[in-house]
Amino acid sequence: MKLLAEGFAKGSEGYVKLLPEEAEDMWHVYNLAREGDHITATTFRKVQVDKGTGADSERLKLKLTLQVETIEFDAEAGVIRIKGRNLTESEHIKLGAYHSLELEQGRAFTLFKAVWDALDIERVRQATDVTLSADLAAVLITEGLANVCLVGGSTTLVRARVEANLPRKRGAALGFDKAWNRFLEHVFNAVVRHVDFSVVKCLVIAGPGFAKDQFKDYMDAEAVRREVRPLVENKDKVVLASASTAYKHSLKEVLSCPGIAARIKDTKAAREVAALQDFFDLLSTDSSRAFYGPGHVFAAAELGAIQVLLISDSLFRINHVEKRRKYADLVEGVREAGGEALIFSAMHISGEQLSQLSGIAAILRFPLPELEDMEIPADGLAA
Amino acid sequence: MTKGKRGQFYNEDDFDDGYDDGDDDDDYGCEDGYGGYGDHASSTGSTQATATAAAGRGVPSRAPQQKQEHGKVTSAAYAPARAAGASMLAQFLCDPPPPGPSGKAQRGAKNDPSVKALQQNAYLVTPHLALKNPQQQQQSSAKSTAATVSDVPVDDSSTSGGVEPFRFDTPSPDDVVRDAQERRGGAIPPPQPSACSAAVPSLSANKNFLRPSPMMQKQRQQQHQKPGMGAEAAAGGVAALSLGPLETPQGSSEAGAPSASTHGSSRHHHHHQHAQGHDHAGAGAGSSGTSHGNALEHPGGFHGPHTRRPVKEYVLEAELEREVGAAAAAEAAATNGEGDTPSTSFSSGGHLPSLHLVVLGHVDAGKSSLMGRLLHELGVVSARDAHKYQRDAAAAGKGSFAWAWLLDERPEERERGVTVDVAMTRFNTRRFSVTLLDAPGHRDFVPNMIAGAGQADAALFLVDGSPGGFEAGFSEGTGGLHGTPGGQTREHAVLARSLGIEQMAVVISKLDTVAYDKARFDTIRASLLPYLKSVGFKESSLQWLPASGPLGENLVGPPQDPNLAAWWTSGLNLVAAIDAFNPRERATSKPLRMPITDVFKSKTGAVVLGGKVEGGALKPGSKVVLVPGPSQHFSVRNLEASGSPTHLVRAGDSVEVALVAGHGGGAGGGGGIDPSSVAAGAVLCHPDFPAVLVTRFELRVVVLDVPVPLLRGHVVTLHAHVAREEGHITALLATLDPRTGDVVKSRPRCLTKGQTALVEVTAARGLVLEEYADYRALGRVALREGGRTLAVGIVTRLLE
Repeated sequence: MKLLAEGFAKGSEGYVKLLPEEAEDMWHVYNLAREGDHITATTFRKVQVDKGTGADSERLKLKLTLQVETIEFDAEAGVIRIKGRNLTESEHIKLGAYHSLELEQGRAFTLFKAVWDALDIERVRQATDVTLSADLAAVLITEGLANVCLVGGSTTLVRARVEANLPRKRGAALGFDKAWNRFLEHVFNAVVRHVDFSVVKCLVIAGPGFAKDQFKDYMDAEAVRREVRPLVENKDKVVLASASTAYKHSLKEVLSCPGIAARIKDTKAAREVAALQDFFDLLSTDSSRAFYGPGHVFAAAELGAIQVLLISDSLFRINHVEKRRKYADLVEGVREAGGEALIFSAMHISGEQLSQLSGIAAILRFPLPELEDMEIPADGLAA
Repeated sequence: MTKGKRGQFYNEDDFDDGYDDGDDDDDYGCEDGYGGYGDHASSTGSTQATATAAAGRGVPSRAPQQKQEHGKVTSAAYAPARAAGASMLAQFLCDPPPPGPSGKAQRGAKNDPSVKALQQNAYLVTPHLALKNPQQQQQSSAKSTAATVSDVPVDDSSTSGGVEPFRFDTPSPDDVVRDAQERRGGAIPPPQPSACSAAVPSLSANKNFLRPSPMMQKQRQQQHQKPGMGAEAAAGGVAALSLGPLETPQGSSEAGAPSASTHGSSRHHHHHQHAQGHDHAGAGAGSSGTSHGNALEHPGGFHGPHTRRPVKEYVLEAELEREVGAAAAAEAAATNGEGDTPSTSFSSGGHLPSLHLVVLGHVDAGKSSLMGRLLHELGVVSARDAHKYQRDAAAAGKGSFAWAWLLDERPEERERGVTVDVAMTRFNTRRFSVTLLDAPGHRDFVPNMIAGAGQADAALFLVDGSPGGFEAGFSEGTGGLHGTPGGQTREHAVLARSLGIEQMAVVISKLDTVAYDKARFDTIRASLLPYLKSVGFKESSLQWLPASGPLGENLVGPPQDPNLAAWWTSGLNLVAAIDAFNPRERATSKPLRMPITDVFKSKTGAVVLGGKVEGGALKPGSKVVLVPGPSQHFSVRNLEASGSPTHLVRAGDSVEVALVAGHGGGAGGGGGIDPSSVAAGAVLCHPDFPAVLVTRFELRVVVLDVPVPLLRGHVVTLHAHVAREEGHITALLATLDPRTGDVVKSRPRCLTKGQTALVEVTAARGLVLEEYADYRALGRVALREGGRTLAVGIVTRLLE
């Protein structure tokens, strides 16, 4: 994402002008924009124009500012739909009239907020930092199932899911070979369509058994046969890794595998996976130092016990100002106390897993056994 | 007759209970857990059976029936448990308090807290039943008064109310919908004269569904036997035809069907009408459940695609039942007449009891080689073919894999010398028609192994006897996140037990590398036995023998090698060990369930579904539905078992089914089935009792060797019968005392190794599951992640 202009300071009003460039940027925008913000962007509106030959409707390109009421995010298409009331004086649209606009890649927009908090500012910094966006493409493949995923700095998108019913081996296994080749072809097509080697640092083929090896052989042969230049040229970017299944959650195994981790070591995805594993490790060895759930974590924070805070960004994406401020204060408090606060992207597998664990967890500096078994009400903080 | 059946039915439970015997002092948590849930299920199962039996029956007969029922249960089923020296726990379980007149368990009967906790499920279920009951009574009394006036429409409407959703302790959304439908007047109030006239069109429509069958005549005779019945009732009889009347000479095998056991001669008349009503509604649901055109013709009998009728209501169709009975008799005859020599003549295959045998063991223990050689020794594979494989394998530089090539047919399997997919072959021994499932041993293919073992009745468990071989397979996993999982000798044993395999023959292979040293055999046995006991195998159901695949030692005949023959004198060879297994009781009394393992196109171009029938029976012409699958009925065009056409398959048989779209099935009627619309893991069901796709369910699990504690939100891969799906743990409901089933701690923060717990699991997409009490094979789930099996368990409740 490109930062075109900025004028904000923490705790006060301000604006930022951004240009989203890839699908992942839309995720950041989705997390930045909230109800009540003002968004200025070019949009289209059908207006009634009287040209003398009767009423005619025409699609006009307008630049409007909306006060946001609802935000919808389509992760697969990479589009955000914003609905709100118009704040721009124009001859074509009344003040206060409802309008919906779409934010897309390649279209700049200006976001105005009445109050910028630390989380918002961090989000902007993160979104506009080029070094953080390192992409990895992964093909998780086993017999009959393949997922083609793109792992970005803060999103994991399943671009294609290929499923096939493979008959069981029998006799000359003719039916199997046919079905298997068709399956490989589908996966290959999905890779060609979705993996852009100008963005992707490497392509990992992972899965249980030999399916991954067979797919790699197939891919190499097909790339040459069909003259798919990008694949032929980037052959060295293709890596094999093992994973226990071809489901999306096995990406965790891929990301923590040493060979792959070295290639993508700076990405947020890899850091998150590592942090979550530390948390689980600690939970098995010293559970009084690993807390999860808002009740427990806030209680631990009051005692200044938090060393690493793991928090999912899905908790911030709420319109409730009070709740959001509480979480923002928590994050800041932890950082001020010298702790580390990791904001997990809910679009990553590790973030998904954290969300299942109520979205918030913490590794403590010192054990709090007396709190561990206590039931602590979450004070309406549960997302 | 019923008594005998029940006895057998429950004997399997005794088997389950058996390993709580005092013969094992090892305090490993798993054992208790397994014992616990086996018991749990059996106790609730029986309570439900009696409770529904009571509920489904008219008021006056309840008390005597109850007594009779209870008498049966204790005498036939539970006595063996005690006789077998079952533990206190097992006895507790076998002793549920007799249900009271309302069908509610009398808790006063035994006020022991452990008993109460164990019957948790029944406890949840029965109050609901009790609530339902008064309504039920009214309905049934209304039925009997209305019966002579207008039989069919009344029953038609009231049976939809009589559908007992007993498995849910709270009304499910489906129930709510159905209730609303009933209230809106889909149900016709019982004794209205107008109902009579309304019945006529629907009946004529009804007849359209029926295909002429020889059973018609029988039914007509029955009409004559009941002159008191009105015309509608007679027509109702015809309507019930396709599903069959209840008056069959062998109304016997209905362990789970309440109405079949109520053949009191004095109440015969009324009861028969009720049953007809049920069947009629069934026929209505059968034709309308998924195709809406027909639903219009049966306003009262409409069942939404997700409405479930309790499995207990099922009554085997008469025609099928007769054939099933005949087949069972033939089978019994074949089993008793043990004069034959081990033969491969498939002509007699139909009469032998079928046995599904899975071969398990660590990678490279020699599973495929042993099986390949065995097939050769039994004459299934000709010497010429065997020679050809040997030549090819030698040419490929894989001479030692020659025997394995018989089963490992895929190029990558041969190239790497590793079995990937489960190979299925059949052969006959003296006692059994064996379906052999050669499972892969490699860690990456454990999912395939689960699919294979899930179908099996017994296992051959191969252990590599070569120096270091056993130790590699038996190695323990190291803890922690980055630790390695243990060898597959351990994992396979645990999985086999949790997938319902109770009997195993442990085959120690590759002993030729140590010159058939008896000491090696004994050492392995000594170190393996405690482990197998700890995971739930009973010592008496384990057999131990040495054998060698490539050398053909101790497979069919006595050992040839002098070193082995010197000390292996018991004469137990591989085939004898297979013959020593007990066949599994066939669950023919339950509605059809057949998980699809394989979809392929036959040479004639027809799409064929392969799988093992887990419940019910099938014959050509039977109507079936696929869940999940097209919302359309199919009928069975032909059946093949062991590659030859057959006229009947029962629960416990593996079969290949070719389907044609049922009549009235919409635009594609008469055609075959689209192979791409069926995936392995779909289940072929009885049209009136279809399985449902569930996404959320409650499991009672035993936590195995987990690297990190299980938490809420843990993402896992679910394995149930053939189906696989990703999912996650949505709630940790309680940790349980493995011995008593008491709740130790509700809503625990995490689960650690060895704990028994109730958890709620959500799957990413729906899969077909059944409660363990109904279908064992469809009620078992393994949770895996990162190449390890985290937990195994049974389905205690289906939630969504």
